[in-house]
Amino acid sequence: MPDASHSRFVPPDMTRDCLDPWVYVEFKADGGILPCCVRGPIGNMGDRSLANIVNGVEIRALRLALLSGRPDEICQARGLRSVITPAVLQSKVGMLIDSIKPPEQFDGESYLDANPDVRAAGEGATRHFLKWGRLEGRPLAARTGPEVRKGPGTAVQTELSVSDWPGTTVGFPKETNTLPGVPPDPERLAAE
Amino acid sequence: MPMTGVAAPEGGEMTIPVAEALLNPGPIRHVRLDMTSRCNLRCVYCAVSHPDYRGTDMDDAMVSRVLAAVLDLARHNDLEPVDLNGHGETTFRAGWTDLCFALIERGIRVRLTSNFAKNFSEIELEALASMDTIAISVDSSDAKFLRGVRRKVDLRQIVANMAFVRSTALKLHRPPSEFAFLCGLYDKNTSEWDEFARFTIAMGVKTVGLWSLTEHRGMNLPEKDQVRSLDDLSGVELSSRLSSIRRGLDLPRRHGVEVITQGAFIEALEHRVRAHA
Repeated sequence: MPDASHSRFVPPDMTRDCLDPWVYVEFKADGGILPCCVRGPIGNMGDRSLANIVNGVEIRALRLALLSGRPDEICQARGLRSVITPAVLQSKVGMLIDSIKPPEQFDGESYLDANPDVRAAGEGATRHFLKWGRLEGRPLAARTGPEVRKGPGTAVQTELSVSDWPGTTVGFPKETNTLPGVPPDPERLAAE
Repeated sequence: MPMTGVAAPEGGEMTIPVAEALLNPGPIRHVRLDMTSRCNLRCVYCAVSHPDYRGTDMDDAMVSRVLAAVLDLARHNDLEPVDLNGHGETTFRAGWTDLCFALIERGIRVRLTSNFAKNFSEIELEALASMDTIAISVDSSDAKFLRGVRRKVDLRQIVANMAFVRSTALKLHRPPSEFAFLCGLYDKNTSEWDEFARFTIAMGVKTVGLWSLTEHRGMNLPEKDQVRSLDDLSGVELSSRLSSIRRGLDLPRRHGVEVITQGAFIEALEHRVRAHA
């Protein structure tokens, strides 16, 4: 039984200083999704969407265990993260969750116009975006031409060819530019 | 505010309530893609070396799904560079460069972790030269020791590959990829770890990442090939090793190399040594 000075020991009612289950996604070769680099899969891309998996009961249970000061054996046995109190971890996670905002350009009506399935489901635009849309890459507005990114979090989406990946048999949205602070290529936009 | 909690192990009342809102996903920042769980190496401490281990490649259809999912994430989340690695060697999967280019061409930064223990083709060097960061798993600057522990790894090949990537970046007029060394620490590579620290400086790496290695057990290796976790060493065994590690931490920092230790394992081990002195 390791003592308290052992790097792989978490004292009772303490927890790991680990935010991975909130901010980290690992795609395994078989489509499994891991919440960190030491645990088994919490779902598989073969039968569920990523948004569904990171909102799923499996990972919520893991988050709850860490926040409650009840890390399981796997979290305890790995010394990759320091030990802290659950209150401190809750505070850190609270700040993380509070930092999630819709982008400045977000407009609820535009979002619902662009995502009629959300409107049909009767779910609030902001609520849907924060829980699902931001993870699914949902468009913020109905497209009337190539969108130009104006700042962090602004959607840019242009449907292009499906041949970007060898063996691709289904289409997927192709980004013109997805990262903050990187201006779109005007020549490419003009060509499209 | 809705609250929930986990019951105490003995089935008692839950002691630490948790707001339901804290159970939601946060802003996704770190994405890691394991294109393969196969590896070209058979390191003595790694589960991949187990005779029954069977690795697999991500098939092309799954790569397409994953690529689409990463692009979706990137649209509304400020991602750190996407990590390519896992329990296998990414560059061991045929066509690995296609995924790299698909990400990089969309402005997504990519960071590769590799053992760098192979001869890279020209297209592979171009992909490597387009990376944000290349983290090389390397345990020691002692070539003979490294070959014994990681089996098949030639330190000179790693050094040459670093030079080839840098020269390819020059050819492509790209800013050079940053290099990092990732080093798991255990009993046999810590006695003279400060020697490795000098090597990192000489190789111009920007970052060194350290963690306490957890060896995979049950491989029935001869005693001479086995390694032990630092956690399993006595205070006496630890003491000199920790001195070497401390010296090795200070030196790179003085030369502007960032040293990152995972979890405060060094402090915990030092505490143990003091407690048993």
